[in-house]
Amino acid sequence: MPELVIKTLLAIAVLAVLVGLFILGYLLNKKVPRPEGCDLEKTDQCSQCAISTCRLNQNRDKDKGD
Amino acid sequence: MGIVTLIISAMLVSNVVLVRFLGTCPFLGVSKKISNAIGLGLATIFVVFFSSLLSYGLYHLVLKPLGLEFLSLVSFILIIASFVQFVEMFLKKYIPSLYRSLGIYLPLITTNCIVLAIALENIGNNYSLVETIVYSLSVSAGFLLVLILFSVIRERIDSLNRVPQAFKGVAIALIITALMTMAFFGFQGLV
Repeated sequence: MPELVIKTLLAIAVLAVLVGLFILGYLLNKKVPRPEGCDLEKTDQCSQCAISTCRLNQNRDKDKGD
Repeated sequence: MGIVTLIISAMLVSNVVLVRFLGTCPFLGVSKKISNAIGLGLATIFVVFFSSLLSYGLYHLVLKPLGLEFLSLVSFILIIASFVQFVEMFLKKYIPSLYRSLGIYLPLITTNCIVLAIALENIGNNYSLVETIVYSLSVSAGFLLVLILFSVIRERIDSLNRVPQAFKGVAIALIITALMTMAFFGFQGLV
């Protein structure tokens, strides 16, 4: 029984470290400003791919209406 | 399995896109232009290689000694997502030119199932560190190869402008994919 408890606690600890690592990476990444010329999200000019679920895809709303 | 056999098998015989049908979303989505296809392919090789190494290390140094093998799937997902965040941050800060060309593809790679599949297969097949490196590089090189081939065919077909209206867009892309798949099945039995 104690072994199971220890294993569960270890699993939670490992997951907590990994989730913490992801949150740290996300926050640090968010803090770093984009280099000049990479304001793609604002320009709404992306035509790189045909993935219809991408929020930058100009045809997304048109596809929804079909 | 020998290293050469592993390379040929991963790149051609069991091609990740055309034989195992993984990563078909970026394959169909980012193959309109050759330059974009090369950009995504190279970014995928980079992320697959390093995330495989990180997953391998995490499994053999942490999860296995602690008896937490059941956490493999969720921890690999977190490792890949975190790695992409750090790579994006690094590129933004230190190599803006590379970020400019690859930046748009990096978030897409996080959701590419090839990355997770390779990390899981390395563990499932009990590969050594060398085999892990070779396998992850070969599979992602196979992805780059078919992506370039597919984008070349698509560009050529688009430039000819002779596709009937009903087949334009996704329809002709799927037909090309089917023909390429049949061609790649010719490699079966090679190793």
